[in-house]
Amino acid sequence: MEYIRVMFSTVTLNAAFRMSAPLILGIAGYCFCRKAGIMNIALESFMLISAFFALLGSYLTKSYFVGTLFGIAAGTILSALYGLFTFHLGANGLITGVGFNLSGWGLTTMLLVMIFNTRGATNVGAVSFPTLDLPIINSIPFIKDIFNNQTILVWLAPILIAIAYVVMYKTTFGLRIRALGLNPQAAETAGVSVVKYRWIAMLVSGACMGLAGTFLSLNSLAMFTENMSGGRGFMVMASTMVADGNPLKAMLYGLIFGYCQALSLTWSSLGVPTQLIGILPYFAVLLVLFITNFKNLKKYGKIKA
Amino acid sequence: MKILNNLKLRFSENTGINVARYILSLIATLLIGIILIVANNADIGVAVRELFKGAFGSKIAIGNTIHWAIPCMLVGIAASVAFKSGVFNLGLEGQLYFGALVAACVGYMIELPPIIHHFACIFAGGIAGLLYALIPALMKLYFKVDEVISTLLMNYIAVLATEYITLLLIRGNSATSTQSILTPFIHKSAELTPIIKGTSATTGLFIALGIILIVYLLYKYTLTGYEMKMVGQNLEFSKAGGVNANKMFVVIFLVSGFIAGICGAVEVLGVNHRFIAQFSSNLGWDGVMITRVAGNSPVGVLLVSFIWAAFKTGAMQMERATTLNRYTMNLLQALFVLFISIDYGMLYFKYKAKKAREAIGKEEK
Repeated sequence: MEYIRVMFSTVTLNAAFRMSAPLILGIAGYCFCRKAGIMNIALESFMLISAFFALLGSYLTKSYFVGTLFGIAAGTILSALYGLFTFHLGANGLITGVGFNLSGWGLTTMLLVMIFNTRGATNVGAVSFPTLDLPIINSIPFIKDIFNNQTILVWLAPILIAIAYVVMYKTTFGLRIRALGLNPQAAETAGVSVVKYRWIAMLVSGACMGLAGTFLSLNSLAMFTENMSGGRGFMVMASTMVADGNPLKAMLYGLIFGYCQALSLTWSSLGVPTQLIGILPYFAVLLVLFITNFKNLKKYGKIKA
Repeated sequence: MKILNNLKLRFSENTGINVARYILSLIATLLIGIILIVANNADIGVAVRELFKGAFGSKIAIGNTIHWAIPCMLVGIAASVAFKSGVFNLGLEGQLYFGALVAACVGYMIELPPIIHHFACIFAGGIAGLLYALIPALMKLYFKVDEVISTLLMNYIAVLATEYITLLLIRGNSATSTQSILTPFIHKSAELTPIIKGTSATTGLFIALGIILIVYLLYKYTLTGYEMKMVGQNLEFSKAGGVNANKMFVVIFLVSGFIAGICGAVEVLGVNHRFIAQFSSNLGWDGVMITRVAGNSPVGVLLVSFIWAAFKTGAMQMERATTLNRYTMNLLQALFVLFISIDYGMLYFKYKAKKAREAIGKEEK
C-alpha cells in the first residue's frame, strides 16, 4: 500500500516535474530534427559533453549564467560538427553517432581527470541554479509542494515546448520543416533549401540539448559524474520518435519517463533494490514503443533490414 | 579493351581512396593526439615509447595484449556480422552481459568434465545472448519498433538486470556497493587455460579465431553467407532474387547476439572466473568501432582487434609513466572511427567534378 501512496505523493510528483525537465528541454529541439527527417543517436553525447562544459563554465566564473552559456555553446558546436559529418562529409549517421557517444565519454572522463583529478566531481566550487519561490503558487496547498522550489530551467522546459509548438504549426518555417521531412524532393522543387532547413533544425536541437546538459550538472547540485547522462539522450529520441515530432505529445512521453525516474528515486527509499527500480524508466520507454507500434502487427511482412 | 581499361582505372581509384581514407584518418587522429599530449605537458617520444612498451615490451605485455584481443575479436565479429548486412544491432553490450552471467552460472552451478564444461558454458552464454537479441528482432519484425532505439535502451536494462539477478543468486552474502556484487567463482573445470603464464591470454584465443574463420568461410563459400552479404549491399536486388529478407534479418540479428553472448562467456571463463556486475567497460561499443575500422570484413576484424588491444594495454602503461591518462586513448580511438567514416570517395569525386566544370568554364571563355 505504501508503494501506491508514494506514487501520488508530492515528493514523487515534485521529482517527476524536475526529472522530466532535461528530457523535455531536449525534446523541444529534437522535434524539429525528427520532423525534418534526421535521426540522431549522438544526442546522448551532446547532453553529456554540454553537462561537463556547463559545470566547467560555472566553476571558472562562479556564475551559473555563464555556465549555461558554456553548455549551450557546447551543444551547438557539437551539433554543427555532427551536421558537418552527416550532411557534407557523407558519413553514416549511426556510426557517427556511436563515434560521438564514445568520444563524449572519453572526452569528459579525460577532462574530468585532467581538471578536477577525479572521476566524479562534486563540491568543486561551481555555482548551481537557485530555486524559485513563486508567491502566487504558495497559497495553493497541494500544487505548491509540486511546483515550488524548482529552478528556472525546470520552468523553461514547458515554455520551450510551447514555443516549439507554435513555431512548428503556426509559422512558415515550421511548415517548411514538416514539408521537407515528408518529401525532400518536393520541398526542394518548391524552392525550400533542404540543406539550410536541416542545418537550422540540427543547430536548434544542439542548443536545446546543451540546455538539457546544463540542467544535469547545474540543477540544484553542481556536480558531474562519469557518464551521468545515463541514456537520457536516447529517451529524448524515443519520446520524440513515438510522438512523431509533435512537441506536445512528445512532452507527454517525456513526463511519463521523468515520472518513472522520479518513482525509482522514491521507491528506492522504501527498500526496493535499486537495480530493479533503475530499470523502470528504460522499461517504460520500451513498453511505450511496444504499445504505440502495436497497430503495426497486421501490416507486418515488409521491413527494411 | 576500353571497358577493361576503365574497370582497371575504377578499381585502382577505389583502392586509392581506401588507402587515402586510412592514411588521412590516421594523420588527423595523430595531430589531435599530439595536441592532447602537448596540452598535458607530456613528452611525445616518451608517451609513444611507453605505449609500445606497454603493449609489446615484455612477455607479460604481449599476454595482456592477447587477453584484450580475444573479446575485441569476438565482439568485433559479432558487430560485423550485423553491420555487413545493414542490421544495426547496437545492443551488443547487453547481449554480452547476459552471455557472461549465464556462462558464470553454468560454470559454478554444474560440475562437468573439463572440455565439456567449457563448451557447455560457452554455448549457454551464446544462447543467452541470442535470446536477448531475439526481443528487439521480433519487436522489429512484428511491430516495426526501430531496432536502433530498442537495442540502445536494452543495454541499460541488461546492465541493471544482470546486477539484480546476481544479487538474487548470492542472497545472504549481503552486498552494498556495486564493486562487491559478484557470483561465486566458477569450477576449475570451466576455466580456460592460459597460453602465456601469468596473464589472461587464454585458449579463448582459439575460440575467437575459430569463430572468425567460420564467419569468413560462411561469407566466402556458402549460399547463406552470400545472401547475408547481398541483403546488406542491395536489399531490393536480393528480394527480387528470392531472398526472404524478414527471415534473414532475424537470423543475422540472432547470430550477432549469439557471438556477443560467447564473448561475454569467454570473458568470464578466461579472465574474471566469475560474473562481476558492470564488468564491461564499453566492450560492446568497441565492437562497433572495430567493425567500422575493419570495413566489416572478418580478416580486417582480426587485424584491427589486435591494434585495439595493443592500444588498450599500452594506454595503461602510458598512464603509469606519463601525465596522460588512459581516457586520452579512448577519445583518440573514437575520433579515429569518426574520421574513418567520412565518405572520402564522394568528396574526391565531387572535387573532380568541380575541377572538370571549371575546366569547361575556362574553355568556353
